[in-house]
Amino acid sequence: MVNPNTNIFLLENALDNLLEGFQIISPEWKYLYVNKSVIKQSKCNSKEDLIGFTMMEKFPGIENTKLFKVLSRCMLKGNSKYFENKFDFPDGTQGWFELRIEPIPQGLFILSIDITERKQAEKEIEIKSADLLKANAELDRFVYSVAHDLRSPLTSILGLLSFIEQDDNEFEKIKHLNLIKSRIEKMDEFIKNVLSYSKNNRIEVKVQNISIRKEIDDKLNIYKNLLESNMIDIQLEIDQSVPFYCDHTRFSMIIENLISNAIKYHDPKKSNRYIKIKGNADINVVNLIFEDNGIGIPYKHQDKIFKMFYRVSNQIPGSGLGLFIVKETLEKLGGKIWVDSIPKIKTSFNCEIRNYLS
Amino acid sequence: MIKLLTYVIERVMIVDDDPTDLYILNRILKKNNFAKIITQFSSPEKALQHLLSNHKKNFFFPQMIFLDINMPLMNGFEFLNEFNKIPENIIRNTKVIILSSTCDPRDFDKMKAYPNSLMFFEKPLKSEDLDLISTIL
Repeated sequence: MVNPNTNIFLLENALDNLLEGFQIISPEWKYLYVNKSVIKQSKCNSKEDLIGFTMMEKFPGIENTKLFKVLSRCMLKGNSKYFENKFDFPDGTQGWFELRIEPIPQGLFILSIDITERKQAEKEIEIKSADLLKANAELDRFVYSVAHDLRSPLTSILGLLSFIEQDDNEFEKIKHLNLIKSRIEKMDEFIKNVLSYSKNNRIEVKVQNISIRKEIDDKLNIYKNLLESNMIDIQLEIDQSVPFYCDHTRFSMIIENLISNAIKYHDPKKSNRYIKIKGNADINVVNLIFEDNGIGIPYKHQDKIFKMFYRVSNQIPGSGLGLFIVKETLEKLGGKIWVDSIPKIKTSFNCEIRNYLS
Repeated sequence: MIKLLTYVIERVMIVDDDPTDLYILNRILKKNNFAKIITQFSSPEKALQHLLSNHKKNFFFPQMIFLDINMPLMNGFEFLNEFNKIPENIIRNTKVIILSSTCDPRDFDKMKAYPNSLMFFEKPLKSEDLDLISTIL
């Protein structure tokens, strides 16, 4: 004959080894029985922490929760219920539990499974799919904008070609051919911009020792003719006493863009046109300032100029990609860019670039 | 013998930020004797200012506006939003022709929302397009 106590012992042992929480609550909301998982799930230390106490004593405020409403209804009407519940612990943390509530003669029997991790994973998936949706929408917008910007020089060229076909006038023909040429150059420029945007996204950062002064001199050399013909004075204040390590291609692209912008937006009405480039380096960061006394940027556009395809002027040609790519590239290099501009007076682009030396 | 020039319509306005495209359209309109007076604007804001100041002076309004969509600062739709604020009796006889190289379906959806954007043509405008436009006048 088996000792009935042995049976109870075996049963309790089995219940304590369940992954699921198992508890019995009296109609007065007292804990009559809890297994080990309930202790763990409710963040208590021992069964004695709970047994004999009411839910309200252990979890003040529980009587105002949705969970308690459900429990009350089950207790009163003898209903079963199965649902997922978010539980606020007294220490401020939260947990998710899958609950099965069954009425029994002693009150309520509650089976609980901790699903906090699963819920967190679900939340992460939700955030990731929202991000993906956003990225997809952006890609869509990008594709249509690029398609438009590639087509627009082509449609101009088609128009100009039809003139050439119909016209006998040699002078007009040359004029139209030159317009075609400038449209092709614009298109080429745009394609290069799109490529450098994509390169920045895909190619790994590769650091090497860079002389800031030499890089700037090289770029100024490219624009030598433009600077001279527009009578723009160059002032350099570069102070580099420590080695500067950075991705060469990206760094060079950033300064080329900022110099070409400063030239592009010069103010032909001013007589003392200048571009001032200031730079200093320490072992952590390099600060570069590109200042010009060009046409400036109207205040209402200043926060938008780094956006993709944003253009401020219809007088000066551009794809609306340059500054966007500069910003993206700087961010890739662990840096940032911001603008200070007084419309019609001056503009300065301030760059902060991480020195990979440290 | 003197050949009398007859125009399809009196006054046309062109709004396009691209100077080459302004030039192309202007030339096509001229070659086809489409309009007697062509006013061109590379800035939609300036075009709008021009329209607003003229309607107050009770000036003659253009009977047709060729409008680009993709323009910096103010796009074609923003232009139309402002344009439609001008009293109905003044803009009633002005037809808007949208001329663009867009392929964005959202642009086509937006166009449907404007009753006076009568027609859409892909750039560059051709002589045949002008024949078609003439039929709706």
